[in-house]
Amino acid sequence: MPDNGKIEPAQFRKLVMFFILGRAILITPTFLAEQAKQDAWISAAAGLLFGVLIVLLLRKMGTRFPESTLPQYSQGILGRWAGSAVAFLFFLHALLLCSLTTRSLSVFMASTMMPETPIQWIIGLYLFIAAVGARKGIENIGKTADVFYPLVVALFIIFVVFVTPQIEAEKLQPVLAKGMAPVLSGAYQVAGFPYMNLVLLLPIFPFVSDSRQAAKSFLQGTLLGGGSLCILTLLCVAVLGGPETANELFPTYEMAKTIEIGMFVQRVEAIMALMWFITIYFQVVICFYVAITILAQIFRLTDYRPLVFPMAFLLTAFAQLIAPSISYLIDFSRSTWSSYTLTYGLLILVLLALAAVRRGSGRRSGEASPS
Amino acid sequence: MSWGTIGVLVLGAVIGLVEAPGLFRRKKTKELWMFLVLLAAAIASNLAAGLPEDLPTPLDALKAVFEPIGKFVLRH
Repeated sequence: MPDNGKIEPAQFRKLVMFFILGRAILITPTFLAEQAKQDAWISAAAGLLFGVLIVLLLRKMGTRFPESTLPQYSQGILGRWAGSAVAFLFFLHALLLCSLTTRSLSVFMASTMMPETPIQWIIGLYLFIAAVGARKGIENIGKTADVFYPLVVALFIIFVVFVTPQIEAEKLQPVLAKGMAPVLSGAYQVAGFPYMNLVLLLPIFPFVSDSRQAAKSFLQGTLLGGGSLCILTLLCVAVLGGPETANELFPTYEMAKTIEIGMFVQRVEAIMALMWFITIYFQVVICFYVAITILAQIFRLTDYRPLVFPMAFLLTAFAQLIAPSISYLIDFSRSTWSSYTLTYGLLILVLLALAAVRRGSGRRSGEASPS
Repeated sequence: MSWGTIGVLVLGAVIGLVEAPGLFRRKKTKELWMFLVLLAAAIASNLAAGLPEDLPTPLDALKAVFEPIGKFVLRH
């Protein structure tokens, strides 16, 4: 293994939660409200159910090969070339998600708080932090999650408490006015983003110190992250209203703007932006780490660390090149991402699972895995 | 040469000078090659990102394949 570090199951739970919230915290309520209007929160809950199903499937894969990393076991069950090809698919997926997420964050920063900063600087600096995190290894990423978890939880609670007075219950009515169909298409949007992205946590799974506990943490983290997403969506709809949520690019930020504490505490949204800054960091750093370790293992390198900075430099360009404009990016996320990631993610998983069952490898046969 | 081009080349040179000598000294040939390939790709794509034209992205291909499916599911 290129990285000998281990993370605790509790740290894994936090990483899963951050990974789900990641970019979704900014844009998912919009996509949900576009489909389901005032029923967006029901969509979020239905999507979470699907997320739980995906996680149950991923857990099965993860606990089957608790000791070897994804490129190792995919090469183990599919052979050197086919296994590398599957690992390479993961690499591409991680690269794509990393570019998209960084681009979204930089657009958010540029359009809300730093309008005069050139966007490539925001992207570059953000990826530089991610590169430093990835270079220090998975253990470090886990501990970083420990440090920031209380802050994110505190900010989330403050956010919910201060937004609650703005809730107008009539904005949630009528419930299910158009039946289940719009709710289900909303659920389909969240199923693709963020839940199917959890496939990318599969390569992290072997680094958790206790695979049985890790399986539990995986589900707990998903429920925590997905639950927070449901709450945020519910608040967006109840505060801003369904059609307004659908029209905003960053509805949670708009919602934070409505917070008023007395007459003198203003611009609370800047503090709230810190919350998504942190969660998105973890999404980026996990994608980055997964991409770079898989690349190193496909080519059987002894050390992935020297590749970290050129990779961050490369991704700085990719994040700019990936979409000519933000409207292109949003349109892509809306119309294409879910069908792409659901097809792609399920295909990879089914391939791996079928191969594993046919070869009968993994823990059940008691095979000692190389590490 | 614009400032952007100079910045990209300087940054590329700095990254190269920081990592490459160590890899060369420790005779990690495979790592060194991978490093240089990534760095060259990074410099090339950053220069491309500085061009005024919109370049085609891999998302175009994904869009061609998967957008119809998405549109089909979301239409009602």
